Amino acid sequence: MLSSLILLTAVQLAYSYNGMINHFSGDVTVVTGDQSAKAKIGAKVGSGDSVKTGKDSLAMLLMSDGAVIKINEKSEHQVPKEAEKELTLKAGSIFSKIPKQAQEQQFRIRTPSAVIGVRGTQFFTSFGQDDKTKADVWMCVNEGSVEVTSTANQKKVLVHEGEGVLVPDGKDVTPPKKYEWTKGLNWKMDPKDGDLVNRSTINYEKKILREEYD
Amino acid sequence: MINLFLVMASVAFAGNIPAGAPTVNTGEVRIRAFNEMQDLSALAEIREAGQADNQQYQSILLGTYYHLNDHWRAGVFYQRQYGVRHDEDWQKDTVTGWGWINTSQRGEDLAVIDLSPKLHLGFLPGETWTLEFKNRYEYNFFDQDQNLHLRQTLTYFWLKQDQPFLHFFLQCEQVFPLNYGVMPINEQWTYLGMVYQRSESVQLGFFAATQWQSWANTSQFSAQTGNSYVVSAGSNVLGFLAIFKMGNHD
Repeated sequence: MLSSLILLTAVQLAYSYNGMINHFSGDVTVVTGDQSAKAKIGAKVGSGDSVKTGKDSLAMLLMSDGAVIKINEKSEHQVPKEAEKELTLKAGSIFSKIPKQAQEQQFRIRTPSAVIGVRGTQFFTSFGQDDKTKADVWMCVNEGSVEVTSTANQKKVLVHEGEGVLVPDGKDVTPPKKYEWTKGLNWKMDPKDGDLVNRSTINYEKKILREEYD
Repeated sequence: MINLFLVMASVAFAGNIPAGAPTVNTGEVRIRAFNEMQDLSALAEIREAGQADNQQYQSILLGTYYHLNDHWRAGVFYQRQYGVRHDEDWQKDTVTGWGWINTSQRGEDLAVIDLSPKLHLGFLPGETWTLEFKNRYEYNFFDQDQNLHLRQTLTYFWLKQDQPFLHFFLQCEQVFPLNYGVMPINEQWTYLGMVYQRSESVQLGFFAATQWQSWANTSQFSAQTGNSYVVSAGSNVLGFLAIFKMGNHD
């Protein structure tokens, strides 16, 4: 049931769109209806299409309003079918960079436990990376601010630049703060800037708990 | 507390009881090799340490940990050790009289099991802290002594590009004799150390430790002399630590 919940609800981003792949590496697939095709530079990603990335893979989407989406490895991202144009992140993580002209329409991230109103221009959203945390949503802001409203009690929390929050599955949002995991994120969105791959693992708790020396 | 027992021993008895030894400064080398396979972590550990009275401690530990989950691990080990001083090693020699025998060449076999919960202390500054409670039971086939070792380890991991780069640890260990002796705790250790993770496979570190141990008379001694005692000794240890890891590092 939990898996179904994750697949069905995912993270939804209220947004307009279609776009095109302007950069990719590794195993990237564009799924249109029942058909899938290997990604190509310049390939259009239309309404209802999904982009899937494999291990050690990455895709950059340039959206029609100038927004840029970096889809990290082992992720699945769907361009909205709906008239209100919602982007859906079904698995994995994305970096989003929203130009000012695209901010006239507020971006919202919907999860079972919180609604995240994005006022910033650059932010990161991710699902947990293992079975235990896969329904959790992690988010942090690189530029601007984000308003997070928990569905449990409608409490609003404003997340500022440099801060992050965790929205545990079905629970309240954690207080915004400068989480350790936000420090290693690769915010680069332009291939000209160098390596775009994000190697930061959000859930370092597992890493240090499993670290043995004694 | 240590001084109290030393005083008790020196005031009450004289001559054929062990003297409280001054604190000695020694060195120790610990080399560990882990082979990580999914939830199993096979471990081989070699220790060599100097001790008071020209005794040398040596041990090899072989076995495996099993990770029940991220927070619990259990271990089963065999240990061979040399140079451990037990209560009954205070013996009377016909030529030299009462004294500690040197056990550097005496091998002892032990069965060891442990169960260790570990917590992530994410609320501490820096967030990358863990606290482990190692609960280790050991059975010594040489003299049937049974001990319970409780060790608390606070570790701070310094991550670099999301990988552990350095870690610092503070450990406190208490040894509870389960079926012998008169003291509830007969050995204590406090460690402060640092480990540099040169790569995923090689870690090098140092530690400083202070140790305290006590020995009590055996019933045989009391029967022969009519006396009883508890004596203590301590040591300061500077140690080198090398850790090698094989297998799956994820």
